[in-house]
Amino acid sequence: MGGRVVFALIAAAVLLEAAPCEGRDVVVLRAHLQFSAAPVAKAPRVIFSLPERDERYSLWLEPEFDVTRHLSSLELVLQKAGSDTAATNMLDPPGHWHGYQKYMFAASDFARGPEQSAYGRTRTMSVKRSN
Amino acid sequence: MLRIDVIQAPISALSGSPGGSENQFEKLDLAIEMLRTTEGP
Repeated sequence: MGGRVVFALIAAAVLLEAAPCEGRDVVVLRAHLQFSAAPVAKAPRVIFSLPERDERYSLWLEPEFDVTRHLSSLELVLQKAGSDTAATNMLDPPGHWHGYQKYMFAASDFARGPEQSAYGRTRTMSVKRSN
Repeated sequence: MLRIDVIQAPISALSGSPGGSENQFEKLDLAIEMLRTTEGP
């Protein structure tokens, strides 16, 4: 893949629903994130808020490149809206951590398809950080 | 507590070989659902 690589992150079908009810899980966001090599200046983000909080959050895929400029991985980033870098990711586990996390999507992990990837087709992650 | 479920759609284009360091993405689709759960804070 030569030449300049620019990215598109397309978010659609964002759905905010009612406040949580006791005793059951409540969907607060549904979104579709698509990464592609389309020529877009800046990757758009999904911006949303939670019913009970006066904060806005953003969700996007942050590309990472290897030394040959190949897109080797993507990271799903959740952050309070307004930040421009992925330096703080609310999906990071609290404290010290290392290794392949569930918000990381390495190309080498998908060579045999999503079903054979380290976490399988569906990943569930808990948001344990508040910022 | 917030929980995020991510469903990975098939990757339409991924060059390289299985396990190879030359693997690179060209497209990745994710369906994301975020839930407020009754467990935790």
